[in-house]
Amino acid sequence: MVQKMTLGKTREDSFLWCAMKRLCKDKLALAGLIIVVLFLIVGFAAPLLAPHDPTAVNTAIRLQMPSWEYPLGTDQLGRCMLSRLIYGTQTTLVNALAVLGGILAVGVPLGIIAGYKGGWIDNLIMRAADIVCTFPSSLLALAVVSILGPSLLNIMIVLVCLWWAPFARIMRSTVLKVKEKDYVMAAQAAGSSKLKIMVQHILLNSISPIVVYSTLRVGMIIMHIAGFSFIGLGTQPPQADWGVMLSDSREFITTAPLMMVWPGLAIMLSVFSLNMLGEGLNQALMPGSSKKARRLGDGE
Amino acid sequence: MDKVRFIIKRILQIIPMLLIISILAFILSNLSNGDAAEIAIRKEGGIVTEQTLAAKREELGLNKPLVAQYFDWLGRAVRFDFGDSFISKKPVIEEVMSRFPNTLYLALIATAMALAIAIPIALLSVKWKGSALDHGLRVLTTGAATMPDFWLGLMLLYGFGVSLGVVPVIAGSNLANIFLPAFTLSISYAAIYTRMLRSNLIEVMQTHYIKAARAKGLGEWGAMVKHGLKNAVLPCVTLVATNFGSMLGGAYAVEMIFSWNGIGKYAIESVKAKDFPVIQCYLIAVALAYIGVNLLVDILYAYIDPKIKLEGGKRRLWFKR
Repeated sequence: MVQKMTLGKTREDSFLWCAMKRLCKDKLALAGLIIVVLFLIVGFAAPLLAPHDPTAVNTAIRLQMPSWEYPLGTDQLGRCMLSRLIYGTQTTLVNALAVLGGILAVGVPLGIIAGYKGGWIDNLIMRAADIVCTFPSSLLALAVVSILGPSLLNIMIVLVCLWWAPFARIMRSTVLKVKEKDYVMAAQAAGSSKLKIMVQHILLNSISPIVVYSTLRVGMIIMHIAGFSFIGLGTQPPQADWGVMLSDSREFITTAPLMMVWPGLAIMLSVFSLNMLGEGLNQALMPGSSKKARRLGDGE
Repeated sequence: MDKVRFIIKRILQIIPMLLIISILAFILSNLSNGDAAEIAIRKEGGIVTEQTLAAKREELGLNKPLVAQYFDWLGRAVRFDFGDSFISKKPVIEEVMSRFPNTLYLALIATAMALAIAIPIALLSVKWKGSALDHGLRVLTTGAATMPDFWLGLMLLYGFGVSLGVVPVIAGSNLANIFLPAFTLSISYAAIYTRMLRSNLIEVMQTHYIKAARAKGLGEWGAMVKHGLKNAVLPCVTLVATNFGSMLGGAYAVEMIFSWNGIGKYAIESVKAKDFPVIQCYLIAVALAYIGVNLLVDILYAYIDPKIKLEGGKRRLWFKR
């Protein structure tokens, strides 16, 4: 016991352990975490879990009510709704994570450069961030889609172009904060290369707000992608996608109302759980500074 | 002077956005199927030869450099002269303007509804802060904020249109049918306003003037409604107005579900039909409306909120130095 104390760092008071404990206390966040993990499992094990081929058309069994063979019923082309929902999870997750990856790949380096270099580069990057923040995403998406044609890739590119700014702001403010700290100066004095300093100190210090903000942002991405697919400008049929499924169900609102329940529920549940998890993580990873990441990101 | 400088800064910020949208719209104007000069000659009933084509190109300015063409186009765009729709063959501006009031009413009523929902809920949850009611409302507002409007719209349409039969499933765009689409559009905004009002109110209720109001003998409700609410609502003005601006361009999903004949629905249909003049007009009109609303709020705000004056004051000091 004594020996443990002198080591200074026990498992009980490590940062991650404390954060885990705080997160587990927040029941809503825990529920969010569980649902998010379930979605991840379903998405990545889609081929194992889906009972049928999501694109297999069989018009003889179209618009059926739920049965043992088809637990959620069939759609207007006789495709299994459950299988489409499961593959839709995969589509949604892959797309949302790709957009998030793109946003991080653009926003994080730009923020680090802005914070580290300062001067006109900083000014240029941050003014660009101001501009993309005020840009209505639907307007730009509509313009791009009408020039290049409806496709999900175009929507995803637009989202990356507009949504990198909050991450650049978070990284920049972390860099500015950390740059002045004694341990970074010590690292510099000790001859550490700039790259090493950035990776070690700045990335580690900014990981909490980035994780929180990413979680919240993935929810927004899912919602936007589903929305564009719903109006027919995102994912193109016959690919299984929640937004496309919802859009298909519009025609059958009087004859097969259950068709619109499942994909909508999936969209809402995923976004809701991501938001709950994000807010829980905010409290757990950055205690005392509630809503800080959010404020930073929104530039308020 | 500070206010003027602040407003000029905001105007400078929106120029790149207008530039990008206008360039995209200009690209759209060049995407018409076929040679513009040839189409114009055929329209007038002329004969297409090398000579007439060259003459027409000269007349339409198609032989000028691209930048000059862009400025020609911009000159027409600011007068909203986008030509005729490919589909209806009528002037685009007439088509868009006939639908614009529908979207405007929808956005206005949705904004009013969002505030009408948010204010009482925020008051309730602050009055009983930390209670089960407050927690319940928190979960409810998070749920509402994450509710996709296109799904909520479908469910409401099924509930009221198909199940209960209260409203027609394919309703016309008269004001009698505005309730459901406006409600659908308002819900996520109502949730955002509730949260913002709640945290503002909690902050305001700890100030000295509220203590003074209480000491005066004003009840908790009286202090909250009479003095607290006004100060809690003020910081929301920008957000409400910005959201109103985005509702003008972002209500398309709701408009499509409820067959509401607004500009959003028209724009989506035009994208699918490749009716480029309509999309150009929509882009420019919505961008201008969005910017106009935002600028108006900034100007108003510069006069309402002393914080902005302070910021300007700091900047003036900086310039003097």
